[in-house]
Amino acid sequence: MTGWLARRWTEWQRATNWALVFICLASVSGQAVAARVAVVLSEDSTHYQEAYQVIRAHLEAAGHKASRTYAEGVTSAALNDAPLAVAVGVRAAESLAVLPNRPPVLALLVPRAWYVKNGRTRLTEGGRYSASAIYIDQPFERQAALIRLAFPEARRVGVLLSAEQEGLLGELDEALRSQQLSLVHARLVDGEHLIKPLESVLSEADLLLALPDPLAFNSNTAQSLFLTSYRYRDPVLGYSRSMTRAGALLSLHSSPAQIGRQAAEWVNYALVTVPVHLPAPSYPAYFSISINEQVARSLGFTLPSEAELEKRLGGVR
Amino acid sequence: MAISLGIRGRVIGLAVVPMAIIGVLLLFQLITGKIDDLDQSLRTRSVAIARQLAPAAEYGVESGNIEVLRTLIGKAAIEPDIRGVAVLSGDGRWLVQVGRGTWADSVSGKLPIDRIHQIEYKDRLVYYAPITRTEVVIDDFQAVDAHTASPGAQTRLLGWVGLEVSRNATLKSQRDAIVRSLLILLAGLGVSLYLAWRIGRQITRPILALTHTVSRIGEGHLEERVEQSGQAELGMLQHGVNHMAAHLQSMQDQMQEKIDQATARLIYQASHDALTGLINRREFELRLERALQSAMQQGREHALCYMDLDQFKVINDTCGHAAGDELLRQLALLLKGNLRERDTLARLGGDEFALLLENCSIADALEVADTFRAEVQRFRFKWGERIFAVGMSVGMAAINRDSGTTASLLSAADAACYVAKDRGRNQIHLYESRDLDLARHRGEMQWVTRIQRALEEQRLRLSWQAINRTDGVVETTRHVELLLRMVDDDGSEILPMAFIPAAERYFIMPSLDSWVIEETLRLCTRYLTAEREAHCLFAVNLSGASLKDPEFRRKLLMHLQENPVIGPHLCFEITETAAIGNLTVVNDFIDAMREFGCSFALDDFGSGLSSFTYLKNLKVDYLKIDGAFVRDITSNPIDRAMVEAIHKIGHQMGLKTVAEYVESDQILAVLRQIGVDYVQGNGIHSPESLESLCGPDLNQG
Repeated sequence: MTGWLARRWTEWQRATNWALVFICLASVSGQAVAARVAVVLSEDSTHYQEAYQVIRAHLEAAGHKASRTYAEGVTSAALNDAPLAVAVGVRAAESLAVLPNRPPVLALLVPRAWYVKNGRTRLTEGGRYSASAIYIDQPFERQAALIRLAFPEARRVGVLLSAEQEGLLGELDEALRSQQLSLVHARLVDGEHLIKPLESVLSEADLLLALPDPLAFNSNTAQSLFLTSYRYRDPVLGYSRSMTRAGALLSLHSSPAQIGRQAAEWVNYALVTVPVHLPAPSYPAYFSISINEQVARSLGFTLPSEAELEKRLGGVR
Repeated sequence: MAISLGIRGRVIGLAVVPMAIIGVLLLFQLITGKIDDLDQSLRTRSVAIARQLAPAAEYGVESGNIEVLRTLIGKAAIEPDIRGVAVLSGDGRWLVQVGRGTWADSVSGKLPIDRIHQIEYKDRLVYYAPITRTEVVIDDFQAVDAHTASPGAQTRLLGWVGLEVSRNATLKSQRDAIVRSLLILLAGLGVSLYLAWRIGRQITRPILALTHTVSRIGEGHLEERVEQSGQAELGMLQHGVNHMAAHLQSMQDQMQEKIDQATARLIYQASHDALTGLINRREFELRLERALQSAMQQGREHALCYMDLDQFKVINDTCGHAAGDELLRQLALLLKGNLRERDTLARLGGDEFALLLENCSIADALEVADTFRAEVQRFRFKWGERIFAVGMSVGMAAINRDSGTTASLLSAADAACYVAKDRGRNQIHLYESRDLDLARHRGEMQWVTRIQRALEEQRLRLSWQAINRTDGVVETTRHVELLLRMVDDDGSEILPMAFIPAAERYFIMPSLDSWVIEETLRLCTRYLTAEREAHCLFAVNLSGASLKDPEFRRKLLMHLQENPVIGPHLCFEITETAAIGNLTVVNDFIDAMREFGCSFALDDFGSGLSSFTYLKNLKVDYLKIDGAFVRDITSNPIDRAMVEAIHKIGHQMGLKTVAEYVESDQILAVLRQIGVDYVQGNGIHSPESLESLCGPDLNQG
């Protein structure tokens, strides 16, 4: 451990020397010419790399550069005085939140619930630092609009939520209402069977809207939920491509690439401003719709094509 | 334990026993394998059902939907061998059960949650398959979830599916398999038994046929053969037996041929004479019998000739038997050459031949016989330097209805032949029943029986006649001739001249001589015992036949050796005829007797050949002049001259002369004049009984 620290220290000193030289050059050339954006990934996974690759491509196209770091072992020095840091994933964001003198942080692929509840506070530290986010969640309005488009006959939308997430109900109800849909919901208690609340929801609702609540939807409960919904002949509107594959009639989701693209656009925009200014936290601008044709046939639904739906839903933010 | 099995039994055993052993082993192996397979298959199927049932029941357990579960396990329960299905919740509660099944609550606590648990009973198997939640991926990015609230607290086990499987079907199918296999085994054994029986029969049948044939051959049926049916070893055996039988048969045929040849030779020898090749007496009698039959029944006429050679005896005696045999051979050839085809010539024995002329009248027969006789007469027999002429006497008998038996025919022909001989030989005599000569011959034949009866009945006697000196001088030695007499049935005495010719002809003389010698010896003993003062010389007659008989000579010698003192009292009188042809033998005999002091006399000199050669060679003491010269000596000067000549020669040779038949004093006077030493005759002394000589015979009963 001592040996490792000594080696790291030597590397850090060498980097510091090179950094001094770079700073002198940068101050002469001017900030608008080229910037190096630090991208921190929660871990080396496919999804995060996909987002990084899209960001890097877009930045390089705009004449900027992107440096890649991982959440584990990230330091202030490693950010290399980057004007902006992009955190991909919750852990990346949380690792940046503890660094002093950090640049403005844009958090990607984070649940809105997390950002609203913890993320924003920790990243901004009461306004000392600048931060923003692009959520992983889809906006309720968009979901409501999709329900309307896909199920013109639908009236009631069922939702299962744990107590923790009940705060969202208001926003959801509002969004649904704008589409003449009513909300039916049941609250889940940890450790109890979800079949009973599920059946009570399904018996009333025309379809089940799945929200990313680990207590309600997880890999263990998914099969039972789907099977029960089939028994009630209620389709499920999911939130990921995997969910469509697992049995949801259709899903609304954004891919890491789509979110990465949006993030790159934001970064390019922010770099031209002095000081750097990030837009307010937002839902993903780009999205995809996936349909399980087999489930559609089984349940007797005839839906517009994925592309049609995406196009018609395009205006909704 | 030795069990004797036939070939068939062995073949059957060979076929069936290995089959049975293999069959039982295979059966055992198959049944074990099949049962293992069945059990394994049941287990595999049960595990598969349980494994499929568990995830299928997941939703029902998760949702608590009993109806769903009932439907599900109801479908599983209708599978064969399934006794019951039950679903248990994770905390051990019974949710639903279909069919039978004993589900122990306590079990649930110990059940493993990661695999199917099997509990094995004798008649059933119970499986517990854990029902676990199926994980379904619903998030695109796992990383997001990793941070958020973990669902790990939630247990994945939902419950168990219990499955009870009956092993009865396996057991039943095990029993069925055993029964079926046993049936197949029995059927297989039956088939192989039948095949082995067939094969065994195929083998044993030719062998039995062989055995039968061999025993038939052994019984002597050499023509017996085995049917050639086999190819390999059996075929060789059959071929060998047939070959052997054929060989035996040919050997037997050859042997039979030899036997036939030998038999034919024997038959030939039995019916033919070895010397001449003519048929013999036996065969001739058979043919004669046939001829007689044809004469009796069909009235045919035949003729029987009995032929006897003249002078044969002389040739035989002087030149030996070889000459006699050669003569017979040559004569047989000669006679055969003159035979008609249907005539039968036989040699009856010795120099006697017989001829049967069939379908031949007596006149013709006489002609034929005369031809024969003439042929024989012309014939000359040459032996060495000497040439002999022979004659043949033929006796003929007619064979017709009146003929009696073959024996009487032969007897008649024989008698006729005797007559022919008697009449001077070399002539033919035809038998006629009234023939006087024949009657005499018949008389002789009767004498034979009478002599034999007399011998048996001891009706022979000796009498004595004194031989005195001619000059009347009484010597110290008395000369006596012992004379044989036969006492007739009526007590009268019969003189020897009546029966001696018959005895000589029919070879009874040795018996008579033996009797005479025995009696003489007894007489000598008596005489010596009586202690008479005068020495007495007893003269007895010996026939030629007795002299030639070695047995007679041996006996006489034996008596003298036993009692030598008798020797000087004995004088044997032999005739010239008796000595002829046996001169050496007779002289040897004379020498032997002289050793004991016996003396000899040549009897009847002058009646026979009167050969001085013989007289010179015979070592006798006395010469007895035949009575025929003495009888008429007084009136016939030739007789007187003969007597004088004989006496003179005798004296010249140192012999004492004796004159017989001295009947009168005139004869005595003449003899005295001539100088003959002794005289004998009725004129001198009539024969008397022995008692007058030496007293009564005390030994005679």
